[in-house]
Amino acid sequence: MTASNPDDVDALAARLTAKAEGSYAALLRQCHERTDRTFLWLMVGQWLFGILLALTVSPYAWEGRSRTLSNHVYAAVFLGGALSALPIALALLRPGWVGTRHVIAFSQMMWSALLVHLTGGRIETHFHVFGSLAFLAFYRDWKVLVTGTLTVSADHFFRGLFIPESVYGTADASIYRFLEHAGWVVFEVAVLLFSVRQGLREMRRIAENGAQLEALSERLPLDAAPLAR
Amino acid sequence: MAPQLWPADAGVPRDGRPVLVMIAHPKCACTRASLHELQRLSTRFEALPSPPALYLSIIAPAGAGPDWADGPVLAAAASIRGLNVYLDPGGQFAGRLGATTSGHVLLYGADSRLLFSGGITSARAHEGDAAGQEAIVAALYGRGASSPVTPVFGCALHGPPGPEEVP
Repeated sequence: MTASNPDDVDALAARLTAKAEGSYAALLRQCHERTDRTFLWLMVGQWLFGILLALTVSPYAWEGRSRTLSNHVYAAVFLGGALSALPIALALLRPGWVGTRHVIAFSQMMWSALLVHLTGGRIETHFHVFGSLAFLAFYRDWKVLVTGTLTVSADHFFRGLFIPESVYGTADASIYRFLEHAGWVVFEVAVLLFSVRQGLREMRRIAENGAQLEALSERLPLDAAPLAR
Repeated sequence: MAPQLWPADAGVPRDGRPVLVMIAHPKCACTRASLHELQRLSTRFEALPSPPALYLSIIAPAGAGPDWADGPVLAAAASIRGLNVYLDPGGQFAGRLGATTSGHVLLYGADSRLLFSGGITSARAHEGDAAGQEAIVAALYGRGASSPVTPVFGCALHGPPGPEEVP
């Protein structure tokens, strides 16, 4: 039961393409929604971790024998809450929406800045930046990685201008030092973009294969004789 | 304000070497970063022909209990080789050196002259390079301190009774 004239071939090809595109779009949407849900829990976890960190590292400010709650605790609770609230809300209410993942990208990179501050500029905490970019690659959307890169670069530029010690650990940093940090971010993002492209190609192949199998199964007669053994 | 000459009756033994003293509130989390930086600094002193004697003076308010000094500062101090830790009842020694903020570091030369007074971190509770550290090293190597007074980031050594006074 093959197509016997060119019009049938064209119609079949068009149907296959449409099916494949539909499957591809569905797979991509599932990927976005799944990644939104992952970040929802990550935002909650980071917020709780930030509060725990502040309470462990510097819970109080002292004056002689008197103590008050440290600014770090307030920063972790309120600033951390502000950073996590919108991503959590969007992940719950608008999963898969393009705006959701861009807001998440911005907030996730700002969480790196807050965690560095809560840990007193610890160099190890800066690894959160690179881990976060890798997580954002799960979206398989290169524009999200651009948002993350621009957020980190802008944060380093402005904090480097006004409070360089909070980002570089020294007050004597050149105003161009943010370019060095941004350069390493761009290096990682370049590799991640390659991986994103590979992932999207595989997704498209899966969709096309699925569409072809579906078309094949539709064309088999229901009373086809079983294979002889 | 720090005295220009080391107080002769400070009660801290001198052996002709420079003296570096840090004044600390035992509960101040920011001072933990200062002590980590002091530990890093102390490794740079080892190459000196006459490395400074290191002292940590922990203030103890009047009426403070026997375990008042226990905390993050004492724990961080334990890892610094050659650091002598003293308790300063009532913060009198700190007052004589003009220190009001935890983490304040003073460096006096072998001739008892003040060479440096200030902090050795660049921001509150932030570890990393700071102008104060370079000033101390420069002073000890006789290059002259480029920034002899730097801001001190830490808790107040003294204060009025606040919302929650801890016995």
